[in-house]
Amino acid sequence: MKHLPIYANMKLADAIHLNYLLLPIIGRFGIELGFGNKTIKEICDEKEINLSFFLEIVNSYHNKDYFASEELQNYSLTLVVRYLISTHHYYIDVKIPELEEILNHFLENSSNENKSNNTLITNFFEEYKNELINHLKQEERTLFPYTFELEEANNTKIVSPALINKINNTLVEKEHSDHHDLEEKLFDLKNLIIKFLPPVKRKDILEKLLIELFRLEEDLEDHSRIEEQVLVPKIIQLEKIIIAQSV
Amino acid sequence: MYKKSHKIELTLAIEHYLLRSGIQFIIKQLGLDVNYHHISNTEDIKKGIESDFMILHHKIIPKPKALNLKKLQEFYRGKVLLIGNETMHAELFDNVIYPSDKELDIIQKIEHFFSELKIKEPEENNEAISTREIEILKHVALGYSNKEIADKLFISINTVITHRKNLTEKLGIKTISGLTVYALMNNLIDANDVKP
Repeated sequence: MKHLPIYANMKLADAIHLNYLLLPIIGRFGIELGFGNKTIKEICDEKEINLSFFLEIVNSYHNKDYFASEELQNYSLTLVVRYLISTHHYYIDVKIPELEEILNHFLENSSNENKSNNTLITNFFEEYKNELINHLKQEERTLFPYTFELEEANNTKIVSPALINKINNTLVEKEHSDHHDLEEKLFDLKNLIIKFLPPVKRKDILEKLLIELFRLEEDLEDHSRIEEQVLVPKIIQLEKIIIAQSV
Repeated sequence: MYKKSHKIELTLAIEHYLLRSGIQFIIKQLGLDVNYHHISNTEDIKKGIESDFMILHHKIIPKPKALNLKKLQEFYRGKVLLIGNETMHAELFDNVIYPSDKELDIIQKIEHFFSELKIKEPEENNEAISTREIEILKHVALGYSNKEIADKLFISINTVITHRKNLTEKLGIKTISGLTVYALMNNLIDANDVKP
């Protein structure tokens, strides 16, 4: 195996010290803190996690250029989609409530003169949040099941006319533009706070909010990268195979 | 802001690998963002014409050197830094590195060579928003389409689009709802007037 910055025999604790942003990632794999001196390999064996897949994910998160290797594309779609779904849960169940709590706290501690501006920011976040959740739910309702259907059809060689119909509907093209819109909105939210929000009473809360928004942005970028550079190419590849076989 | 800073297009006319790597190392240390074009003989020099800067090793110039250097100056419009020696016709160039130059001289000469470019950038930063742009911003924030804005203000759609592009660049805000929040924060519009 080629040399990775984060490798199988490394202690997981060392990997976290190397890049603490990996914390939510290991959580998504069901790994809890308190793992002592165990190596990544030991923990993956224990938790029945696919070791190579785990290494690909943490390394791609750790180093943004990592995907060039295209190794992730060798994993089954089920594995990739399952990871993506657990990431969705993290956004919806952990990250968004956390941000909402900070925002509520922020709003409660606004002075009267700041109240209206701070409400504008909170409403803008609400709007962003709803779009994000819609996008995630949409993927879970359409794109992910579609992926399983394709894989199933490819394995069983049974292709229904309904599936052919779906293939012709080019579901995947929407992915990229949706991600782009969401990224723009999050970027605007950050910029409105950084550049234009007049000074507030509790800058500590505002700083915390901004830092969490930056983290969310980074996490979402990584998530989009997996969807656009691993999932979508794989779907397109399967679509081609299935169409070729059904003619 | 989003806008990527302008990359320096640099032709390196140096054959010796060690010298070439050394120059690249110093440029990296100076934190300059450079796109390299490597050429290794005079025939290729003409290909480097598109670049803004050239670092030229005298070894690469065929004899008679004085004549060929003059020729080079005629067709190359960018700035040239010559790595030469004292006996050469170095007076032809403003920027020359000599074999006797010490570490600090060399670094300063390279830094000076690129210095014009460094000063240029902040000057471009004219980010104040014009009255016309504020007018456009108000309408965008209220939810009017480009066509509606063009009709209301008696200008072409293209003009509206240009103003919007400039606004986005100046403010760093791209979405309509982001612009609306900005307009509300700055009391440019009334919340009750925003189209649902």
